[in-house]
Amino acid sequence: MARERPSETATARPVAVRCTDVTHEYGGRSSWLGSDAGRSVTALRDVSLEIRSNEVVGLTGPSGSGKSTVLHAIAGLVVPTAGTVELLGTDLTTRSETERTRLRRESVGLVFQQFHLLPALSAAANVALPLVQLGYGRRDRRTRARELLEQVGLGDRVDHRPGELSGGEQQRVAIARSLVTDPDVVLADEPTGELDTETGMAILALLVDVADERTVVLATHDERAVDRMHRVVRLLDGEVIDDGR
Amino acid sequence: MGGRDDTDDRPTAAAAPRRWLAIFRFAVGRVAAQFRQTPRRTTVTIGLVAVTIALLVIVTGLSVALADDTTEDEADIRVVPEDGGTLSPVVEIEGPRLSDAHERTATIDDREDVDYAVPVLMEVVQAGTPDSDDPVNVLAVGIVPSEGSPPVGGVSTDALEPGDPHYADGSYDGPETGDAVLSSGAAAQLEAEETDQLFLMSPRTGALSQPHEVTAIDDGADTASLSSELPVVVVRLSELQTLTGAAEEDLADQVLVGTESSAAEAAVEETYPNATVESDGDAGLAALQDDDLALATSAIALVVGIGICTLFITTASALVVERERQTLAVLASVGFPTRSRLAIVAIMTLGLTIAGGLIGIAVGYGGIALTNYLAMETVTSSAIATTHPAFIPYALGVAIGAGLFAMPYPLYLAARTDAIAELRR
Repeated sequence: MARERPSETATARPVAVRCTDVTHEYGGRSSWLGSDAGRSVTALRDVSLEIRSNEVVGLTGPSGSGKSTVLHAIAGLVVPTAGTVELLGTDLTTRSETERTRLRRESVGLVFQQFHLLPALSAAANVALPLVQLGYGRRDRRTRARELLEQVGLGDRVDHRPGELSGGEQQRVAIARSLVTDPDVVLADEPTGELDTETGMAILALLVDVADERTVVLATHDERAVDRMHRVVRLLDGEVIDDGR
Repeated sequence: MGGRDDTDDRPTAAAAPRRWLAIFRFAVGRVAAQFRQTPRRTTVTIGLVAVTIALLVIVTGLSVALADDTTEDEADIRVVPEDGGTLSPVVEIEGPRLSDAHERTATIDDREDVDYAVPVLMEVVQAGTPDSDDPVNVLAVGIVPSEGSPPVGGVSTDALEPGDPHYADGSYDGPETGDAVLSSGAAAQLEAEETDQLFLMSPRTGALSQPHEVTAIDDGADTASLSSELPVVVVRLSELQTLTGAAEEDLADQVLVGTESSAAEAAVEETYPNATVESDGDAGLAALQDDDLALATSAIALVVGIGICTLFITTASALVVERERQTLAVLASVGFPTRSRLAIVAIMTLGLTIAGGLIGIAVGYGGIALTNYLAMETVTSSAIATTHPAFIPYALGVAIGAGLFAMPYPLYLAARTDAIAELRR
């Protein structure tokens, strides 16, 4: 059962993400072997989705259902073959890669199943990484990273490298990194997938908690995670089969 | 816990320099991380660049020494008999010579636009000290020293007082000075030191000279010449003429003239109407060929160095990009645009190149020292390769140039990195 929404009525809040008839195919591009040399795979079919500000939405479905592709499209990492994806009022499908990257840098935080921390950097440096491109000074980056690590309960692990942290701690660092630029939207792709049940639930709680007042879209095939969501959207074979509004 | 920070304290556009500085630091940090994560592979990469640059430095050192050796004197004008050769260690004993050397040279030297005019006579003679068991064949060079006269036969003439008193206006009955300057090669073969006595004997006439005194030993440092290993003894012209029978017509092999004046050059031609007057611009063919050889050697070393270095760096940096694909994907996911990611790859590539270049320069200098040591221990008595401060920026420039040539490929690979595919791994 989805978690109760905040008291404010959902419809009164602006739309943060809008996907309209989004279809995406992987492969099948022309090559020297001729057009459609490789078999194309349809990852999404006519997906339409509207997510309002501050909503915590879960995307569920089995592997290959298209959850990650929806997140990547919202993040501007992929441009769908057809349809439009609007993020905070900007149609990503009409924007250049540079513009999509800028929007992602300023407005989106990403959390991955495999954490994707850089092993050579300390926890603080990993958290501060997005601030490099934003032009923050060294001291400001460190201060901001320390604040975030304290928020996720790793104030005493600031100088530890990922290899010196447990899986749960690494995912906490990744969550801190996703929030360091103060984004409007947080996208999490199977954030509990590499963790044991107890740690996974703790991470989920943390993610929803620290993402307060942000839009959170979380892809997971863990049915227990849906309890924490305001809303759950179920996908199967690239199509939305249930939008639990 | 949590809650949004509504205050917008993000840096403005003025933060661009800070951003690029941070990106630079990040890239340098990645190079250091490469050392930590794959020390052997990174060391091999840098080592290959270093070896190439080191070889370039050594070959350049040899080339420069070779080029230096082709200019054994610094004369602006050289007067030689027609069909005569340039100043060369190979002595043409029976060749044509210039007559009235003292008088005509003095005429030239008297001109205000002439810095010096030095007649030169060369003969192979036998030399020995009172302690020598056997005489040694040396190249005796007779000159009339004057202020500012250049090195002759690779030996500095500074230690000789100007003038040639034994000539005595052609009577050859003036006092002999007995001064002799030895090249280090001559000193080594004769086992002579300064102030030692030295006897010269002409194999042609069988005459034995008055005892000479070793005034100085020139180690060739000022001329950086291979000739310093040759056994050369510089004495006054009239004293050598007397010994070798060249006094009768006051003979010399050539006259070296220091002047920038074209009028002086014309005067020289007038003084020696039947001789060949060579100026700096049309130096002897042999010298020119030697210069060309040195230049060609350097050019080949440069081209081969850049080529091999480029191939090494291309391969190595492609491997680096391969290892860094996940990092590049993570950077893309957190908002690093393509140009920043490519800048990181470029800095990493140049970082590895510069590290290899600097090590290569150090190894190259060591290689030159080792080459000289081995050469002097086996076949020569002086250095065959030389160093110069300009080698450092030169070799570093070559390394950076090779890095730039190699750059397109790793940048292409980095630009083609599929962030989604890497993030899904």
